[in-house]
Amino acid sequence: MSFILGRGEFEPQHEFVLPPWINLDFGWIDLSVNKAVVYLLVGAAITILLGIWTMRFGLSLRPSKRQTTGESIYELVYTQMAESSLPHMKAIRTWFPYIAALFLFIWVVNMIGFIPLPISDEHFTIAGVELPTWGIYAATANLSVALSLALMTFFVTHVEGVRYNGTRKYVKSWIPAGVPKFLVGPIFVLELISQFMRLISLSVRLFANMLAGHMLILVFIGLIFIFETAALAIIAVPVATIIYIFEVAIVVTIQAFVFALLTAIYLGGAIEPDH
Amino acid sequence: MMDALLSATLLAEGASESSGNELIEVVPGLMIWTAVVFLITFFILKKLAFGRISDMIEQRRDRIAEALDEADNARSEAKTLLEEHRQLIADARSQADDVLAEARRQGDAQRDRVKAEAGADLERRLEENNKTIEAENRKLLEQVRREVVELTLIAAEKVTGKTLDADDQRRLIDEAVGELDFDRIARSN
Repeated sequence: MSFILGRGEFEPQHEFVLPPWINLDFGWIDLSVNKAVVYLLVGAAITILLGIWTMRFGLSLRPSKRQTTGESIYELVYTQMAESSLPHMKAIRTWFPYIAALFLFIWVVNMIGFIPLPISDEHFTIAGVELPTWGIYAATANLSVALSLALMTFFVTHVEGVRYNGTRKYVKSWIPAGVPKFLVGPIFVLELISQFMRLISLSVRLFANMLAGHMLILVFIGLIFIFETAALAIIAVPVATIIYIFEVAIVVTIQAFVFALLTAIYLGGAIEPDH
Repeated sequence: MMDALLSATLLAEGASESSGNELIEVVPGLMIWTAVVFLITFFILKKLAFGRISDMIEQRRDRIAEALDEADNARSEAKTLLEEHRQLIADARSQADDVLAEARRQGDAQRDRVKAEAGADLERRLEENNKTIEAENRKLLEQVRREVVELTLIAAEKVTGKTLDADDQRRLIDEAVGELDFDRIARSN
């Protein structure tokens, strides 16, 4: 992680400021490449390589360790998410790749967020050579990234709901059976709000968890600089390490799993509302 | 320490005011980047990775199902064979018992027959021997009788000094033979 290393200065949120590295501002839309985009691209490249490496080459009926890893990932997503949440084989076949790709992509982007990489706005100089500072940053700790992924899920969920049931039946499925007529209107409004709440909960859960993990690590290490006391490292570094291990070992996977699982559940509910 | 904590809090508050909103700022450009990058990843994985591993898992499932079917068939076949084997062994044992009983029965019959034949043969031989002995005795008695007659004639001729005629000879022979105990002679032989 990189810091503003002035005496007593500590602004961890600066880690999440994204100045453009390659300016692609078209006026109506700013597609500038920044740190988050680079992390996304690196994450995508690693996801693709990981997927292809574990699930494509040298496959055999007697699997190697590599193939076993690929099959474990596949089985995890297939049985725990797709099969348990989607109502029938047609839906599983259609949506399994999306759910699996979502899980792998979020997991990899989360994970590389905890690996120190030389992808940073800040630089340091060694022997006159300017080098990027090594730091940790998770693209998923950015609301825009999490919201974009949640929006895709939101979009495909309702498209599938309408495609399978028709607009009328799908919208009617939001109202629970047996509701008195005078309550249909308010409940419909509540359901409509809850559909948008799904979007917010899906995105904020991922974003906030990843952001909180990074912030906690940054703050504990930053305490050393705030108090300008090296002795604080005795407490701050172990605590930050524990948080780091907790994040890498648990939060990274859980967040990816929850996001993908909720996507599967939402899709299953939309395809067959009685499911 | 308290001063330092206060200054840290103030610094954090200042930071929040200056750039805290950036943490929850929604950037459409980054959202588009995210969607594009993810969709590219999704299509590549769908095209190159998931299909292959899925096929492989299906193949293995089929193989396992086949292997299980084969194992079930082999088990039922082995069970049938075992039953047949047991039946064969039971039949063989039964046949062996029958054969043994038959052999025993035949052996007993053979023994009895041989015993009976041996008994009959012994009887026959004893009878034949008795007949032969009787014939030999008779032959010997005849020979003794002739010799006694001849000796008697010779003795009579020498005693009387004359040749005996046929009536004398017959009378003398009858007298000599009548005095002989042939049973004692036969017993002594």
